[in-house]
This record gives sequence, C-alpha cells and structure tokens, in this order.
Amino acid sequence: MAEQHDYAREGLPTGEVYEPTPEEQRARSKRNVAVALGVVGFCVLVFAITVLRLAQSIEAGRLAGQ
Amino acid sequence: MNTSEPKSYSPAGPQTPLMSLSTPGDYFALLKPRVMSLVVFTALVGMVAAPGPVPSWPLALLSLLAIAVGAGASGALNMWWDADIDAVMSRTKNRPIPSGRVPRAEAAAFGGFLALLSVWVLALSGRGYLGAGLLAFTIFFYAVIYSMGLKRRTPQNIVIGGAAGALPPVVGWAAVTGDAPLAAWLLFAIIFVWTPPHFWALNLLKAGDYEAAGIPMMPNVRGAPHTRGLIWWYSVLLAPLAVLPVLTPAAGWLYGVIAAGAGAEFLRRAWAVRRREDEAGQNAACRSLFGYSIFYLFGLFAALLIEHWLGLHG
Repeated sequence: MAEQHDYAREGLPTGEVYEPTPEEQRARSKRNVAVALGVVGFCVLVFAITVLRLAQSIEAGRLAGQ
Repeated sequence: MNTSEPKSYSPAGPQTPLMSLSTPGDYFALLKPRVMSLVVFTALVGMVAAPGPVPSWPLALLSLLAIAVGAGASGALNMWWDADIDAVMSRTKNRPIPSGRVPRAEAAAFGGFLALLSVWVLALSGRGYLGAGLLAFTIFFYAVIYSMGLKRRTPQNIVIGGAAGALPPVVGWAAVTGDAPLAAWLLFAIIFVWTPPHFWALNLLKAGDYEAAGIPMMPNVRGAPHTRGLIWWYSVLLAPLAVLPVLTPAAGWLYGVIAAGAGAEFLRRAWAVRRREDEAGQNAACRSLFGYSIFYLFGLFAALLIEHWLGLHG
C-alpha cells in the first residue's frame, strides 16, 4: 500500500507539469462526473427535504386550526 | 516530461502512478455495499415495526438513504484504519486501499465527510434528533471503539463491536417516531447476540488469515473448542430472545412461529459445530452455520416486515 501524491495538481519538484496518461485522464473524468452528480443529488436532496418538511408543517398548522 | 525516472518524485517508488487511477466504483466499494444493504434492510424494518403508520414515506426513504450513507461512511473509515491488516488477509487484500486503487488519506476524508453529511441529513429528514444522534453514535462506535480500539486488542472485539451493527433498526425506529422504546432495543438485542456466532463460524474457517494479520479473534486466542462452545451458548441465548418481540406490539403470531422454527434450526446447526470431532466435519458445520445465520437474520426481519404489511402484528 502506498501513499500517492497528485503531482499533476502541485507541479513536479523540477517545475515541469505532469501530463496524465489517457488511462489517468479517463479515471479523472469519471471521478469528476461522479462528483458533479453527487453535488446535484445533494442539492435535490436538501430541496426535497425542505419541501416535504414545509408540507408537513402546513398540514400540522391546518389541523391545529380546525 | 521525462517519466522514465518517477522514483525521484514518488515516495512510493516507480510502481506508484503519479495521478490516481481510482474510479467512482472504487469509492463505492469503500462503502462496503453488502454490509450497507443489510443495514438498510434492518433500518427499514425498524421504521415499519414502530407503532403507527410511517408519518411520511418520502421523508422515511430519505432517512433510510442517510442511514445507508452513514453505514457506508463507517465502512470507509474502517477500511482506512485497517488498510495494513486488510493487505495481509486473503479475504480483504483486493479492497480499494490495499490494492493501491484509492489513496489511504482520500478514504479517510471520504468516510469522514460522508459521516458528517449522513448525520446532518438524518437530522433534517428524521423526526426529532434522536435518530441522527444514534446514527452519529453508531458511526463513532464502529470506526473508533471497534476499529481503532477493540479489534486489535481483545478477542471480545466482535462481541462488543457488534453493537454498531445492531443499532440500525433502533436508528430507523427513532427516525420515524423520535423515540426508542424497549421493543426497538429488542431488535437491537437480537442482532447483537446473533453477531458472535455468525462471525466466529467464519473465523473458525479463516483462523489462519486472522492469525497472520495479528488480530486476536476468539479461535486463535482461546482455541477452536472454546470458540465452538461459545457459539453454542450464544445460540442458546439467541433462539428464545428472537421470539420475545411477540410480547410487544411490534410482532405477531406469524413472526413468533417463524422465529421459533428458525431458532430451533439455528440451535441444531450450532450443536453440530460444537459436537463434530473431525476437521472436515467441523468445517462443514461452520460453513453451514455461517450461511444459515445470514438467512436466519434476514428471515426474522422479513417476517416482521411482511406481518406489518399484512396487518398481522400486535
């Protein structure tokens, strides 16, 4: 098991920039898509909870007013 | 750039890629999806078995999602901490960290982030904060108390650590009611007492693996005969305990009949584990009990679920 460093982001100690291999680029693209989907999913989740909680509160208020 | 001498840049040597090759599938594997599915199932049963109808199914399903992510976070944190011993054992050496697909620090960050997120979402979607508090405690118990504290120190590791795996039905129950009464803790007790015979049956088959990794499991610390005896006594406790929910409104006669019958079969198989003398017979009995124990727990909780759907409970 090895610690890995993302030198592509940091730049190499020599000042050169590492060029990812096609395989690395594909893996990075997949990770990026997954992160994007995760962020969108999270926004949808928070929105859905907010709407459902509001609906519950309105219903509870309506029942209390009857 | 010259990539022929990456050794000078990479602390891990020339075999280590400079950029991670990990895919989303590797991160999903960190969540231990098989364990997660059992957690989701038992938490769902906890929700359904709670008194009264589920107040809002959409919110309950979002709570279930939070519980699943919390379980996954525990798995990721466990894999981060145990990466060194996972690399030694045949059962775990292909996991994402020991195989080099996911950097260890990323697994820690991923697990920690998901743990916070899951508790936060359950606090929003659940009824009150008890469910979220219990989920936070479950993650803490599994990652810190079990993985960091107990696992490498005592052969009672899975006995005490089993509490983490037993909590999901209580979390589910609390998420929809805001309460955790005795009936919910009975479901906890069933999984808690089921865990040692289930894992020790597997440990008896894989004792060499655990020995090589230096994990003090019961078979390599106290020996196989002692462990087989313990499996029997835990099973003696489990079989009647699993019938007790019929005394609460959470379960009815159908559950009682299934729990009694399935418990008798559990005892029969546990007795075979204890009594078989020859090595081949012992291994077969352990394999049989391990496989059946999964079916047994699933059957008990499925019976509760079906009873509630059919309105036969209490």
